[in-house]
Amino acid sequence: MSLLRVDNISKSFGGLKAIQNVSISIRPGEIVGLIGPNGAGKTTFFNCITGIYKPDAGTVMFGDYEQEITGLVSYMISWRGMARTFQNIRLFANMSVLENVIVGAHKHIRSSLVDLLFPSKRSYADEMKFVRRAHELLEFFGIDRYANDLASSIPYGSQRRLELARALACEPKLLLLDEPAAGMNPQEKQDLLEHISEIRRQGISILIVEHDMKVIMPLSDKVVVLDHGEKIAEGRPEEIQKNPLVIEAYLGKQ
Amino acid sequence: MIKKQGLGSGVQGPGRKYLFFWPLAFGLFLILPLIDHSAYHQDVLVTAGIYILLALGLNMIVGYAGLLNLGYAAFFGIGAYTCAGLNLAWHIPFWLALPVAVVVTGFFGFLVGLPVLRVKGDYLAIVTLGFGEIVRIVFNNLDPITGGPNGLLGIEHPVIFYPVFNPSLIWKRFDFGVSSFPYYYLVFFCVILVAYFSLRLDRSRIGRAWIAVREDEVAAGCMGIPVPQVKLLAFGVGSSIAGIAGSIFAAKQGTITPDSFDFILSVMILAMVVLGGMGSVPGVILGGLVLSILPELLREFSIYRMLIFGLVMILMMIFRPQGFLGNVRRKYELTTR
Amino acid sequence: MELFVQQLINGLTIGTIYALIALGYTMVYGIIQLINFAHGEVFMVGAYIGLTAITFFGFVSGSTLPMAMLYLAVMLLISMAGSGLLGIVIDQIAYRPIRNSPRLVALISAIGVSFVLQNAVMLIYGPQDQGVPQIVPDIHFIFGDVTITLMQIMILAVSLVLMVFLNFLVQHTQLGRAMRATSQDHKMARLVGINVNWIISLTFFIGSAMAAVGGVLFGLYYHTVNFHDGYLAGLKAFTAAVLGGIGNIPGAMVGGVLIGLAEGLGAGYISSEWKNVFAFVILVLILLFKPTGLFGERVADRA
Repeated sequence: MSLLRVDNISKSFGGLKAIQNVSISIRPGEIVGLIGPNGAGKTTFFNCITGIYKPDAGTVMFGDYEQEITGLVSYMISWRGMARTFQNIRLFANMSVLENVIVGAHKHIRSSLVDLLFPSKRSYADEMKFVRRAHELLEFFGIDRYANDLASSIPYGSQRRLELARALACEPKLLLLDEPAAGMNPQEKQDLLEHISEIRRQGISILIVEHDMKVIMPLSDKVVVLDHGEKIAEGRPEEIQKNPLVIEAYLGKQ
Repeated sequence: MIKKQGLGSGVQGPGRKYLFFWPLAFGLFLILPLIDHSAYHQDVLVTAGIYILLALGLNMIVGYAGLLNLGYAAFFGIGAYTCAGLNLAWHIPFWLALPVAVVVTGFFGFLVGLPVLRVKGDYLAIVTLGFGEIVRIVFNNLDPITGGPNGLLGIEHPVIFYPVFNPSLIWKRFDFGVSSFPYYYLVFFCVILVAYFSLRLDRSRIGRAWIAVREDEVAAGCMGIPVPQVKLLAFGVGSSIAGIAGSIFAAKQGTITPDSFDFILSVMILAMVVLGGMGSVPGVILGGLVLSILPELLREFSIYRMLIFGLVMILMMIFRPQGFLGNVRRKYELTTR
Repeated sequence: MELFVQQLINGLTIGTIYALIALGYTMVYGIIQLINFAHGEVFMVGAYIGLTAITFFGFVSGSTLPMAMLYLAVMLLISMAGSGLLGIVIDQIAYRPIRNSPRLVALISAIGVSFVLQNAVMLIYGPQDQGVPQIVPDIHFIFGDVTITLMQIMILAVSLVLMVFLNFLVQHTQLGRAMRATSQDHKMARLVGINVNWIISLTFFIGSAMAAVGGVLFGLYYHTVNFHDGYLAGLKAFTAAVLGGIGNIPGAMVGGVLIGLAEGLGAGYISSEWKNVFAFVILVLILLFKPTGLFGERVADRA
């Protein structure tokens, strides 16, 4: 029984085959690492799963009942319980840090246009519940002091954490992280490791793309390796480290 | 321990130290026609109020949701023609025709919004421009319904009944007529209502979704915001505001003609939003006020008016594209209770 | 059948004028991805410059055909030079400072330019229609019920020559290669030693000069010009550019002719009151269902 099962998906752009017949599966509560050299197709793979691209072939199944989500648009996939971060940070730059997080909770808040004209206690209480939740998330990542600053004005490392907080506000079952440690210093990376472990303890599965093996190896239950758009290896971190195909992909033929 | 913090208490604007300004402005405009009896001044302000309503409505589409719209005058026209048509065909009084016009205009906004699902940016601007022109040409040529180039005339003014005890209760009839005075308060009330609604939107789930879509559509989608629905809603709600403005315009003028709803008007309203500061309610109100009063002050130079207006647009875009009040940081001032 | 052929000829004539204007939209879009909203006004200014030139040289009605040709050539050259320079000035003042700003900023600046040009012309020449003298002799060739005028033949001939010339310039010269390279990628073009700013100015010059030719011919064809003429003609030409696939030069030519034909046939068979609606309906439908146009690959979607 898996939370996410991707079967043989492919995507090409013009003549370029970005990913070919890639399959992976993630069990509930698992952390899966996705690695590969630059241009291996990792981000394309993410975009195919989260509905930004439509895969040319293959199926994506997701959720407790393994429903097919292939080709759904991104908000529908998000509603099924998948949230992500982006390799090049994509925050809502002109919104406050707090608002960024609350946007993540969009589908959970119930308020209508009528509530705007005639504010009710109920809608206020509902809204406040998510404001508190957002502050909790910001505090979890240690960036609550920025709550009222503009998202684009806070330090880079904090922006990365804010993306994580925003994704968690969607209350996902599966979290997709696209190079969350990129540009972080060793201390920040250490904090990130702890945060990710804590997220997993709350029962959220994670698929993580990362270059830094010091992040991937201790976290992942399983590592999948992509090269030139194809899956070349899959296994436990220590197996992957010894796999000659993987070493070749990274270092070139000896 | 999380501090109890209020979203509703947020302040958007030039910040705390200028907060006294808004109640002051409110009070001033509330009593203005009682001190200043000039019919000309009142008339200018009624027109300004109608423009401000339009600017606030367009601000929801362009300022909040970031969707370019160059055909907004068409919705103003649809509102005006709906209200006028209902009145002329079936003698439906203003107060009933107004909500119908708002709904009809909103519906058309929704329909015209459908393209937003397919086109973006410049192309959206051009599609809406094309739609605006089509609507105007239809008004101009669909003589049996719209009266053609002569438009519709003889629209009834709004009428209200108020109780008088003399000594027993009787209801007296008050016709708004042609004087600007009663319309001033009607428009004033509507501006306050729409401004309040806009400010609430800004801090609500829906407004946040609009702004998120404006900031980054892809990220918004991935955060579970149904981008197509959210955009359509922006078009529908933003356009329906033009229905209010159009109804008041028709009822006050008594006559409407297609050329009141041309491209220049669409551009003027857009300019109010942009010059005031996109997405900023106080800014948009200021923009509407300035751009409708300025031409009156420049009356002596009236032939240079549009030339100056064009120059100002270019210079603003080069030196202050964010508008008068657009650079104000969106910020929630938090109160600890 | 006669009506059909007649409307075909009329549509073709006005269509080639739209095509000349459309070239400017498409070329500028191709190079800097900007919808030069003021381009319609450049067309209008071109018509006025031509009119001024001919007034200045004191045209005498009823001169011989060779003399008329000379006058026409003078009008065209002066108008092309003046409008071309105007195009460059517009770019330098209103667009270059905001080259990297969001789309809306450039669009509003362009609308501002459009207001300035319209009102400047209105202030100089007055709001009323200006009569344009009959330069090309009023000769009619009649085939049964179908009439074609010498003016129409001149419009078709001048447009055809210019379009062939432009196509040659872009496709087969060093300069054209530089323009095409710039439209692909400014950075790369700069790296291979192309003066990108110069190419952009040149594009504005050529596009505006083409519109000026359209303006002069338009004035001669209808015998009047008005400061309002640029708006509608500009929008129709823009429609033509989109129809042909924006950024695509031959596409703009075909698009212009198609819009002209649709308008001519629509006016003939449906109603001339609704004439102006056809272009807009085509515009909206094309943008909705085939935003790449007939021959284009580009879609404008950068917000």
